[in-house]
Amino acid sequence: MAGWRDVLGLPPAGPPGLDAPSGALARKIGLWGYLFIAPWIIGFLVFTAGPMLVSLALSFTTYNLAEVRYEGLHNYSFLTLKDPLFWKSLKNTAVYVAVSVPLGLTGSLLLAMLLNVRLRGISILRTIYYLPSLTPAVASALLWMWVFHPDIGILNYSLKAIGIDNPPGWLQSPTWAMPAMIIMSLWGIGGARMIIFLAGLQGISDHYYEAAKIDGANAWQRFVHITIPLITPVILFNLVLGVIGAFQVFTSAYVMTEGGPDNATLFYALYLYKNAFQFFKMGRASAMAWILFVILLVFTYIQFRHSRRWVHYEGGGE
Amino acid sequence: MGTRGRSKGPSMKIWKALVILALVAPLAYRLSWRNPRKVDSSGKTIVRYMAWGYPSQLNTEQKLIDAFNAANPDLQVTFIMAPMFSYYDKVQLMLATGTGPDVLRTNPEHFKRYIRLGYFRDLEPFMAADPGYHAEDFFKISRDAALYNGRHHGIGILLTKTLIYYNKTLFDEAGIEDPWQRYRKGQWTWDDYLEVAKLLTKTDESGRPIFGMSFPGNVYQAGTLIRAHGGDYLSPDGKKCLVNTPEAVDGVQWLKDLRWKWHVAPTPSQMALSVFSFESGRIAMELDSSGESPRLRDAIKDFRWDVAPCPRGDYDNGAGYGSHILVMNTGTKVPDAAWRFMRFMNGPEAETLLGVKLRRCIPSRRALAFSKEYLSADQSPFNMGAFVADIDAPQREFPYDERWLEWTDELTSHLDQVWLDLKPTKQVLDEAAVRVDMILNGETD
Amino acid sequence: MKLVRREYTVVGAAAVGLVLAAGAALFIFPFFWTVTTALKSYQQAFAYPPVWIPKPFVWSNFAEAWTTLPMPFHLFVINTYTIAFIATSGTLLSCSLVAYGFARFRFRGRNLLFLVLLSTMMLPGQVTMIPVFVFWNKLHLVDTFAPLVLPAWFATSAFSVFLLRQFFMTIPKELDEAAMIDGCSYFGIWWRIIMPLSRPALITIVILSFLGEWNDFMGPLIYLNSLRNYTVSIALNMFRDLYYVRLELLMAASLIHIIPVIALFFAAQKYFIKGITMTGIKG
Repeated sequence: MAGWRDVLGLPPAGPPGLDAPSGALARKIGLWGYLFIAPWIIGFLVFTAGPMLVSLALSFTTYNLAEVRYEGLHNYSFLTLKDPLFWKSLKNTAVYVAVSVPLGLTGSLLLAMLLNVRLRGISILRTIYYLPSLTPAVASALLWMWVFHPDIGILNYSLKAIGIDNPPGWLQSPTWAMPAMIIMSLWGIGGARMIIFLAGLQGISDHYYEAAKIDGANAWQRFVHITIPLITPVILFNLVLGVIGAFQVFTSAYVMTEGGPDNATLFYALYLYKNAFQFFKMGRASAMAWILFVILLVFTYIQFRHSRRWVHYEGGGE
Repeated sequence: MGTRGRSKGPSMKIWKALVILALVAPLAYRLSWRNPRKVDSSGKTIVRYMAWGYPSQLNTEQKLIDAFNAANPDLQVTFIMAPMFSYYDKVQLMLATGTGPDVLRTNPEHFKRYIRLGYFRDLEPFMAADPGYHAEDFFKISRDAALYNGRHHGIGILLTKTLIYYNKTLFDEAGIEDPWQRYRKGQWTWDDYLEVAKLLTKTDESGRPIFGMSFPGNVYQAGTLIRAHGGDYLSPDGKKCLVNTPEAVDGVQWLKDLRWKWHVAPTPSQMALSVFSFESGRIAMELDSSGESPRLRDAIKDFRWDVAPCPRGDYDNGAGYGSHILVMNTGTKVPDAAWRFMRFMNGPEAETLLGVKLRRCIPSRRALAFSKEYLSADQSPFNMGAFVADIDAPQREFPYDERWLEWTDELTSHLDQVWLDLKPTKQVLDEAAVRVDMILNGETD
Repeated sequence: MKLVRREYTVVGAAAVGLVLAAGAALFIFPFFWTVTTALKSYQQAFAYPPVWIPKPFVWSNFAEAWTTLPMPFHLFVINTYTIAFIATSGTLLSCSLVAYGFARFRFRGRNLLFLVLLSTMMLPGQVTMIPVFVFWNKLHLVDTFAPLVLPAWFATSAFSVFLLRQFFMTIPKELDEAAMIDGCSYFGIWWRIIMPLSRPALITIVILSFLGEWNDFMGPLIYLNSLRNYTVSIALNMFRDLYYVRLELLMAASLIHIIPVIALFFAAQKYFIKGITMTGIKG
């Protein structure tokens, strides 16, 4: 079990208490633990495990929503060896993740810190920054298509105004479509991630800061030695989920570009969707889903493993 | 707990109570609705019908359904509406899990595929047994759209045609003959189309361009132009992709030149967001479906416009008709009731409302399509003759086979490279042909 | 980094204020555009050069959007609200219980199970859609709200469990132990200690969950058939079909869709109040 503890980045077991590992008490605690997580176990078995296994099974077949045929590893070998679009979509998605996640996290954290004040009207500002995340994808997509319009869009209009004569074609250009998508994702830095950072910042008790002030620490020192360490759990949280979410990006491309131009914005999830619902290859789509699943599993494992070095749990961990 | 709520006593409680009431009231209201179970309590037979459409069409169909329900007290038709973009996602799921509607509308792209999967019934027995059904009432194209292996597996519905919408004001200002006049004179080929477009492409007083045409680059339009030059997408047996034959290459190149050589059509970036839509008044001619005319009628107020049939090429590129199909689910438990409803939806009353009045479609009944009421118009488009010209000529349908969606998706992403002038046409089409052949031969299955 | 007014220079505060205001202008711009377009006539919606302020304000767009579909919009809103409310309540309750279990108890397989929980977020939903649909169909619950609200009561939101577990882990154990000494049961600790101290996180869950349900499209699309059950997201997508046709109606409908959630979000902010956590420890 020690190995698993490492994986989740947990510090060694704390002083005796609720987690006392001895005999009857331990058993009682264990049972109560199971009781509390029982709703999830039931839900998991019914709504998730079963369907996940079905999709795994389907990944070894050809299934066009009517007939099923066992094909062994054919789907997997086709995708990895004979399908250039598989690799293209994976690459597109990887680029998107590699750029948008760090940028987004940093932006959200900075924004959360700026908005973590008790001033009148701060709620209005927070709401304004959250608006993009509240807007349904359809309306957002239309807006962004307008913003990125090469001729009449506000972005190129501004670029031309500051002297850039040949601004990029954005969504109509194979080179600039992906940067456009990434810029679009930044609009969400005021969203859920920021709210969670905000909640995390709010959860840092004042008395730490006051004690530090008494000791003579200045604002920057307080920031580096109190704020940052104490929100590392939240950073980890947002990082893990950010990667998982970014790998599954779909709606924006589906609505705005349909994967073009020239497959420049063909994200993995979009290609999966096409395989499932446009080409009727549910087996192929299931294989793609499981490949992604394994990729994300590996990523998450690495993140947790590495997190031991930089994440600090205030409550003693468990 | 919180820092609020401790200062004021009773008024805080009232406030809280109100908030809770506001939160729970809508819930209670909604949950109090009775959810009708399978068969209506008064013993009616339920027929489930599914279709998509613009709200105006959905509303019209709902009215028709209400009228049908009133006239047929033993039946109750329920209407499942789905947004256009997600229609087939939902249909597929429903059909695959046996929860499909009794009657539904489908487009030709999905029709054959679903029949192969066993979802749609052969309707010939119903047609034969129904004394009120006369095949000769309908246009052949409409009936043929529902054929599969020589047997009717549906009823043609929502007949449309690709037309040229033209901005009459622009033509008059330039002092040249409009497409309808040219068509009547027999001078309406694709070359004429290009010449006219060149004449009309200019920069107006505000310094912004007006284009002779919008870019006809979708898979159907490109296919039409390829055929006009003597080529085709696939070989007649559907096993080989012919998109890189010299004729097809000529067709694609002709299209590409519209934009990159003659500059009579906007570039993709200019097209984005319909800034150069027909309604904007900056496009002299546009290839679009006849079904768009109601919307244009509502939208266009500041210039005159009308329609003409598509130009012809050196080879037959087809008259541009297309029909959707109304089908009956093989799994339906109420086939006779479903048939009655289907006959109604394709009957004179329905076609008059949707076709003659709303003009969402061309009536598939000859009598209605050639009626004075349909052919004479008091608002644009006035050239109703364009809607029915060549309606009896043999059709050139596109090869909507099993894999249509897959290989057209592949082809479209290659064509993107041509339309964006990224690579030479022949090279792109050679690559495309290789990939499409793979798909046709099942190598990507 | 907590801003206390007397500790910051005027210049510092002004600089921050400026940055925030500039950013806010940028962020609110698309919303501004949605609002103004919703008030334009058809011609002005697609006009170029773009019309910044519509002349005149076409308020009737809202009325028209409200009644264009065969069912008035407020009924879509009520449906969506019902689903969101029930599902969010379920998420709040079940996820906090499950997170408590993971955060405070040791039991065999705990860490493995937690990993499994996390992993449920990693499989794209499209492939499990059909088997789950078949399940609900067998229970004859298609075209009801059940498939959309019941799973929430079983902590299917791994995101919420994860978030709450992280938060619960930052609450010092001493509080639990003190309560136990006073005779509190495990359940009591959850209710009296953990939950009150996690208010920011709980509010976050409520907001995010409610928003998720409100904007959910695929769920209602595949499980609902009768118009009377349809949600705002489906209605909005029907308007999307009108994108090239009546953009101003689409924008008006989008606003009808967004505004309730904006109100919720704005109101919920008042509860992001801190300073409650450590009062117990200090005293």
